[in-house]
Order: sequence, then C-alpha cells, then structure tokens
Amino acid sequence: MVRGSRREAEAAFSELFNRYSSRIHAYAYRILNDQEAAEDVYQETFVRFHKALRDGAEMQNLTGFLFTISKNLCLNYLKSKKRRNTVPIEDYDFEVFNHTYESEELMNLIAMALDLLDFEFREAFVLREYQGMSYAEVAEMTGTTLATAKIRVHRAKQKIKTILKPYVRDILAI
Amino acid sequence: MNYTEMVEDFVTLGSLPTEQENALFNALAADEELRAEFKMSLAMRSAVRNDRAAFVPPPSSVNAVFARLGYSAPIGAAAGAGLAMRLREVFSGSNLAAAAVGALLMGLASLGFNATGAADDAPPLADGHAVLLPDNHAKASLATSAATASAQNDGLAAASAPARSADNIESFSDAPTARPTHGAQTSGSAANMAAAPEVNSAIPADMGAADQTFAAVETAGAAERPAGEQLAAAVLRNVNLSAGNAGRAAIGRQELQSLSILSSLEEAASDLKMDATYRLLAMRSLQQSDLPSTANAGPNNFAVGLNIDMGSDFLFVFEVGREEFFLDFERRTPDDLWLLTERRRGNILWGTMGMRYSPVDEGLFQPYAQLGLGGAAIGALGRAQLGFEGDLSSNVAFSLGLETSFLAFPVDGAWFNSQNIGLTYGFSYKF
Repeated sequence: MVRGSRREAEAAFSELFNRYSSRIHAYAYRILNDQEAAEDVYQETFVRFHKALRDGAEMQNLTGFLFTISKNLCLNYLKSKKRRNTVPIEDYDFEVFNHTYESEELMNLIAMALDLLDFEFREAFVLREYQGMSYAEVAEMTGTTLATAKIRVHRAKQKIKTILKPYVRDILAI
Repeated sequence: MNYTEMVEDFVTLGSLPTEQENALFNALAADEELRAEFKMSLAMRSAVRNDRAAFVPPPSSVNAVFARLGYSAPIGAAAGAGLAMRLREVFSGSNLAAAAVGALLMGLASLGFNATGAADDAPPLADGHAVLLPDNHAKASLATSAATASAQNDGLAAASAPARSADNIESFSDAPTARPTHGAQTSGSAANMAAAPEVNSAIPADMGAADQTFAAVETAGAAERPAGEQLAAAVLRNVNLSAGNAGRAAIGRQELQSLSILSSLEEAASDLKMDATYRLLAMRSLQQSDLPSTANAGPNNFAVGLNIDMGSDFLFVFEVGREEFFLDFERRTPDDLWLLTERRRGNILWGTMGMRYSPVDEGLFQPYAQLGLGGAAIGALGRAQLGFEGDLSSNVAFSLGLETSFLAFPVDGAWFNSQNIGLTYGFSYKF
C-alpha cells in the first residue's frame, strides 16, 4: 500500500499514523515517564515503521509490529540512560501533599508509582490499562504465558495501589 | 480467583459471572479494606482513561514525524486527536448522566416558574385565550378587510358558524383580519365579518401540538420525581456504605452499582468544566415594535443552560427556555372562503444547542459570542447572542448581553416567522 505512488503512500501512511499515533505515544510516555524521551521514541517508531513498510516487510500483526518497535526503542533508551534504579517501595519517601487531589494529580501519582515498577510490570500495566489489551494480547506482546501476563498486571496494580494508598486516602474518603 | 482479582476484573470488564459477582458484593459489604480497594481501582481507571498527556501527542512531534519522512503533516491530526479525546471525555456516560441530572433539575425549576407566572397574562395558545392585539389595531385591520369584501351573501355567517360562548367570540372576533379567498359567495357586512372569524375556534393543529408539548414536558417532569428520590436514596445508601457499614451481612447489587456510578459522577464532577446558566430575556418583536411589551415578562421569559468547556475558547451550550413571540400568520377557513390573518402572542417553550466563543476565562469582563440552533414547541428556532460575563466570585458570574431570536413555524402547510431582539441578563454557576 505504501509502495504505490508517493501520494498513495503518504495517504496510506497518514491513515495508519492516525490510527496508532495516540496509542504509541501513550505507551512510550508511560513506559519512559519522560516527555522528551517519549517523543523521540514516538517519532522514531513511526519512521522505522515507514521504512519497514517501504522495504516490504511482512506484517501479520500491525499492532504488535508497532509496539515491538516502540518497546525495543524504549528498552534501548532505558539501557543507555541507565535509568532503571529500582528503589524498594518501602524505602521511597514521597512528598506529602496537603491540597486536594484532582484527576490530573492522581495521574501524576500513578505515573510516579509506575516509574518505580520493573519494566515487565510497567509494560504489562500500560498494555492492559492504556491499550485496553486482553490478557492474551498482553501475553503475546510481552512474549509470556497468559498466566504470567495476568500475574504481572495484577501485581503492577497492587504495587501502584500500595504506593498510592497513603496519598489518596483523603480524596477517596477511604 | 481472589477478591482483589475480582475487583480488578469487575472494574475492567464491568461485570462478572453471577456467582462471583454475588460473592464479591457480599465481601464488599463486609470488608472495609476491600471497599477502599474497589474505590481505588475506579479512581485509577478513571485517571488512566483521562490521561491526556499520554494520549495526545504534541503537534510538534506529529509534524516532526511527517517532516522526517518528507510528507506534509496531516491537517489537524494532533489537534483532532485532542479534540476527539476531549469529546470522549465530555460525552462519556458519567458526564452525560451528570448533565442530564442537572438539566432535569433546572427544567423542573423552570417549569415551576412558568406555572406561577403565566397563568394570568399569557395562557398557552391552545387554551383558546391567546393574548390579542389592542382593539384599535385589530379593528382597523378588520375594517380594511370588510371594505374589500363583497356584500352578497348575508347568510354565510349563519350557515358556517355554530353557536359559541360569548367569551370565545369576544376573544377571537377582533383578532383576525379576514378577506375572501375568492370573489364568489362572500359576506360583506361588518356584522358578518365579526361572525366569520368564528372559524378561529379551530385552533391550528401545530399550535395545538404546542400545548400538548408543554403538557408532555410537565408530565415527564412529574414522572421523573420518583426517580430523583430513588437516586437520592441510592446516594444516601452509598454514604452509609462508604462510612463503613460493616455490620451489614449482605448488600444488594443495585447499591454496589450505584456506588460505581457515584464514584464516576464524582470523578466527572472533578474533570468536567461546566457552567449552569440562568438568564432572563427582555425581548421586543421586530415585526411590531408598536405593540405592548411582553405581557408576561419576568421569570416567564427566561433561559437555563449548561455550558460545557471544550478546551481552547469554545464551549458547547445546551439551553432551554420560554420566550414570548408575536405570531403573525395566515390561514384559510375550512370552507376555503376566507383567508384569515391572525395575530397572537404566544409564550413558547424552546431548546437549542450551539457553541459559545469566550476568549477570556476570568475577570469582570469576559466577552462572548454565542450561536444556538434548535426547536420550539411550534417550529424551528435559532438564537444569537453577544455579551459578557463578569466573575462575582470563584463560582458565580453575572452576564449581560444583546440577543436576537428567530422563530419559524408552520400553519396549514405554510411557514411564517417571528423575530425578537433585546437584552438578556442573568448569572451562571461554575462547577
């Protein structure tokens, strides 16, 4: 499709871009928790995707193909920056906020909590919650079994809740 | 599957197999920690769903992708994604539910106003007591028509006019201007002209429908009240549940579902930027500026609305209200002998949806322009407004504007219109 005339190629790419743009950005943004890095990954993902299309790469699963590119770029970034310094949750000292939380603030807290998770758990959470994937799809994307995918998603959520609990007790009246 | 997993699946999927669901609900009723976890899951899901920073790529990044490929960037691709997401947020089920509840409450309040304000001065059209033109105006028209009528058939009026009550004859006899639709077999005396408009007793179908619409609205409002009470009861139950009613051994499915709905409404309330507006209309008819001002001014000429922030400078506006229009229309008698010109004042129920452009968000002078299209009880309606709002506090603002409205309505298959212009003033509450 993208190998037709330039105009056709552009139109085809635009269509695919529009379909996946938000999802890829959300994936990179929440996996990396770094706006600048996420934008780099986001752009590079689509450039590589375009190149693959142009080169005639066979794609059985377009979504999987795109997320695999994005995931590899995210991993490369994390390795090169050596950003993964996992801190035990219990040792992590949060700033205490005294004002009312709103949805955006809650999201910021979730993002902070996500940043504390190992890549596998974070990825499972993002694929499940942000991309709306089924456990089977998460398993396929992460190259694990269905049971492992379920466990990762649940553990990720539990860890995030554990981290958030002291800070959202007021707004949730719990 | 443990309860924690059940909570996650319930929040994600919206339901569980019946047995699991019952087990989960019973556990939730008895376990405060589990309820807290349930609320936390709902909050997390809502936060993720509204994570604009993640789901909306910056336009610069979008452009960069296409620039690197040598393509021209898709027009409005990023903006479109943002708008689409904003629309999804605004029109999510919980937000719509919140808006519907607000609109219902305001509608009930406004119907209350009408009930007290309209009865004496401007009864609904189909009551057969439409407010009429001043006698001298109507009679002048009548005299003109009488002069144009041929004086051949004195028996027509008696033949076509069954007896009417004195009250009705008085109401209608001066109102229409009648002229023969064709030359033959018409009545010419002033006395006969006064009787000829007897055909006015047949209220035009569309006008009749208007009154039925009012009735339908009122009936619907009455029917909703018990539902409102049910909602309030559900909320109260939720308060008890949230407070930790651990002594309860069992809990109903509806209560838990309403807990979920309540949480969604709470989230919606925090996410949605919305104003409720109430304003009065001081309008004059553009066709007949010499007519008396509205007979039922005050709370019976009003609009209530919801403004929903779309981001940037635009707001969606939903409004309903009542407004008095001067209705000038023609119709034929059933025997097709007379063409009647009727003039009435009608207090018409209307509703519109549209957009407001408001480039300034705060302060004592926030100019805006607003356009709305919709329907009225007897036809189609459009309105436009220029004005400004001024903040009185963080939540309350006053408004003052110039407004014009255009009503188009059909009678006997022909369309007529009426236009008003005037001032509008009121206040708004920012949620």
